[in-house]
Amino acid sequence: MTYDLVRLRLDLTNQGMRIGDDLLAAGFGLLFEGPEAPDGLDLLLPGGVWVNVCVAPGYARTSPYVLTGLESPVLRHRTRGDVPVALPATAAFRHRRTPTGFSCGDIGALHGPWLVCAPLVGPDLGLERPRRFLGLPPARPLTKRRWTVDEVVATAEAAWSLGGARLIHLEAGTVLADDGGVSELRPYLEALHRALPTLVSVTVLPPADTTAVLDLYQAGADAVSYHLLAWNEAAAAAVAPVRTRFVPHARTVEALTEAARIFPRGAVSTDLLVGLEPLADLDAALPGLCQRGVVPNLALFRPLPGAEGDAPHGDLVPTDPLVALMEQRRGLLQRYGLWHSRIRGFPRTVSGIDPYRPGMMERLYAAARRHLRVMQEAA
Amino acid sequence: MAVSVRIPSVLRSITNGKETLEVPAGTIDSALASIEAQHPGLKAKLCDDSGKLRKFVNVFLGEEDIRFLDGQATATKDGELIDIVPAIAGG
Repeated sequence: MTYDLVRLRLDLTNQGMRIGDDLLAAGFGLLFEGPEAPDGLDLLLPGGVWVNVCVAPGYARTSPYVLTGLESPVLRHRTRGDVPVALPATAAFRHRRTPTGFSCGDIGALHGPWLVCAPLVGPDLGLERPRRFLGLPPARPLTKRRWTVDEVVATAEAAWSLGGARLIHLEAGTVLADDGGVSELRPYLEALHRALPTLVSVTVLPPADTTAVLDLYQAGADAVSYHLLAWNEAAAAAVAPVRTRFVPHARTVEALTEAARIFPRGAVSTDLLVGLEPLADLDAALPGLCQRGVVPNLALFRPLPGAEGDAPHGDLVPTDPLVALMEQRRGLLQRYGLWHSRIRGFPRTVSGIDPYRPGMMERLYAAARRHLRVMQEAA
Repeated sequence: MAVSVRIPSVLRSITNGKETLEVPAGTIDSALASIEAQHPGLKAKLCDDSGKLRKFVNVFLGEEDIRFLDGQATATKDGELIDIVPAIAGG
């Protein structure tokens, strides 16, 4: 089979895949046991390109892709043939326990070079519908526990040594606080930087006062994401009315603009949910955000984990116009210098296909830049 | 004392929510037989018809994957912990 890796990755993200009967019989079926069946599964495409693919049966049942092959897994397309793939090995990470007895797999999830972790508990902001798009951690009883700094650090160390994760993403997008969650996240950020030569990105709600953006950078966040959800304010309000009441669109735009001034180029991003508004609106959003120094992530629909009968919300956006949109996005990121930062990339960015694994130089650069920037702002 | 078997969350519906089961010391095979006796249906999720562990099921004895020990014939001692971990996790 001949394939375009970028298109394949996007098409998989968009269409999902089914699991072959041979794999289900060999123990893969455990994925779908219990009340917390996952919505996504990680795959490594040729060249080590990582992708998270929707496998929720209700969503993926019409997908032309099926994962099959016990000894050498392949991704089989209904008409285009096979692509060899690999399955990331994460069992050793999930087997590892924190000193408090919790599985590291309960506290964080490995996605390519990323450890994604939601350590804090926030109020219910009516994010169920956007949660479907954003791939936020499911609202399981276990994730409603607040994880301690020690538990998160132990998980990050296990992810580093057993899973090869070199980046950490802290998901705190439901923590509603005037300071944008800085005071709650600070101990985690400081401890993670002390424990590992890693970079840490965060998703938070925007602060009431934009001066808190500098505090977040000073606390140790290397990248930040404030989610707009949609470029069109009415579309965002329709999908997340409660959140919009607490966090107006303008507050998010202000925080993004301020963050783009403070953080390194390419380290400030926002998620736009494809399908919420006409693609023409997204067409306008991309240059608007890139001009401000903000990386727009185009997040695709994902059903709720365990939603057996869940089906795509409205019409599935076809892959072709998405490829065009991604192409436009790539050009804009290059034009505005948002692609070459040493600190970039978010786990849900569907266009970045290079496996970004920063080393000690990136860590040193990030620390030195933070120190100088904070001094400059103070002066 | 006995050997503890940690059940993955996806299979706790079969064990009535129990996270850990106690079995007599022996081998991994005997432990699997014992948990099946306590909660029928559990072993079928982990092993094929011939009793062999399914490919995408990992079993750890302490910190070691039993595939790197003696497989299902690996001996267990009182106080040890067997951890059943699905090889694949979604999210």
